[in-house]
Amino acid sequence: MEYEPISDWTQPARAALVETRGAEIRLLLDTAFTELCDTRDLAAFGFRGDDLVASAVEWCVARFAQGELDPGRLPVASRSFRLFTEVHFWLAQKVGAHQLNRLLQPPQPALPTSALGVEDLLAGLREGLGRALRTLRHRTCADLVTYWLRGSQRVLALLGKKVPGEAPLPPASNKTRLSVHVHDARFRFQCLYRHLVDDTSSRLEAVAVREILFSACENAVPYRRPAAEVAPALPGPTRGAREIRHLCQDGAAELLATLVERLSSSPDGVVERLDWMLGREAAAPMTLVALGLEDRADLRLQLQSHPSFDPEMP
Amino acid sequence: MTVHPPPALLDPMVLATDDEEALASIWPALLEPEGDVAWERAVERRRRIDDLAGLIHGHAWLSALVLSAKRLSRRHGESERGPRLEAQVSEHALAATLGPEKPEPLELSWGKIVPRAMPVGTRVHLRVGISSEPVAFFFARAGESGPLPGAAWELLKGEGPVLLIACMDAAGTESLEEALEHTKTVAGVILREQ
Repeated sequence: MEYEPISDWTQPARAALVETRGAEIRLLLDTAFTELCDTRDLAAFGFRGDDLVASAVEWCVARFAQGELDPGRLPVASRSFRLFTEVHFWLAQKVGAHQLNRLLQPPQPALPTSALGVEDLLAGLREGLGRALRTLRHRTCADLVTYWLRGSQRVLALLGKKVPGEAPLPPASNKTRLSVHVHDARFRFQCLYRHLVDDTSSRLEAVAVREILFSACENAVPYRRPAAEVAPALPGPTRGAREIRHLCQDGAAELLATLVERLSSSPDGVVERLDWMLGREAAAPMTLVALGLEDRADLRLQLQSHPSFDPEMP
Repeated sequence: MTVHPPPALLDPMVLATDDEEALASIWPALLEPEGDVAWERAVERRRRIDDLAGLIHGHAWLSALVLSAKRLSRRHGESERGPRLEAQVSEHALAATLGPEKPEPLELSWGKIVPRAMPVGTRVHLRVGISSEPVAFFFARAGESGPLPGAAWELLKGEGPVLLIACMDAAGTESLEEALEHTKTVAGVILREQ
């Protein structure tokens, strides 16, 4: 979804925009705040009145029209009508970023009591996975985070020591397609988590896979940047989409081979084992399908010779 | 058990506008039980907002009407819930004569207006359950609004978004504007070409 850019951020221009597009601006704000109001009391953020959503909307509109806003401090995509849907931004304007973030901090989860005394290590693993999850979002799109979270439930259940159950998969109209997306997400997550993606290399395969699979993309199937769009990033003469796709596949094959190599032995420690299990799930025959590498017999053999995945803890 | 932020406050993560340090603890929290559900809700919420934004873009009349309806429903609160209301959707206007195609019902909720993309030629019929409260039906589109004849509308090519709206306790009113002044709550659907 491309939101209409706002090019003139001077105060008179913003006031004029409210004058001419006020209904649209108010409806976007109203919609964004309504769902927050269902779960959080807007009065906690200092809004008052019979209709707290309307009060919040009018405060935001007044702030936009009359306040000081520096577009240079906004992400590029937020310098548009999308800003009127970004509740977090407006709440930060209202209560200050520090106070808002304090309100947003989730309570620290109670770490599981373990006879093995590995709480700190588990916390470290959790933190590392969380960091990689953020990187996955920033370098791909929101749906791949969904697929990774869904596809990692069995192992995450062990990490959190909750009662393992079936992952809450939606009623998939096409289970194969769902599985492909899950394996795609697992693979990309592991590449980022294990720092396999070379962000400095100018080798054609490395650039192609980096630009197509590890750059922010539209949140829609096929969840990757189109080859034509990344062509200018490749060194040398202009290349066609077909050649770029092949380069990307070669780059992905190299990454998968490296990942498989890293996972060649199953470790014994609890934390290391959890870490390995998440990686092992990313290196499966379906991963080849997700990456368009079905005909790579060498990789298939490599995957099959792997220690088998065992969802039980050691 | 971790309490996850509501979808609206996970939005910076969904949009990748989050501050690395300030919100760093929220990402690991998504690994906790129900984190996947919280994330999925946040992504769906963003999709709904993006869809609505695309639909109302450049349509000030539609934005104003939907905003009025939302504020009206909030003013009267949860107590004003009306009878069952549904939109029967026929894939094509000729379906009734060409074959036994069963109309697909779309349940509408009082206090809400939902967008729906439909193929050209789709016929939408608003039907209300037994009610002691009179319900009036109206349509609105760019430059035009009025009572909805037969409580039904056929979506034609190029006519852009059309708002079909049911106003409770507004019988006898002759225009949508007048109805919105008298009604306690509304429900509706915004039709657009698929």
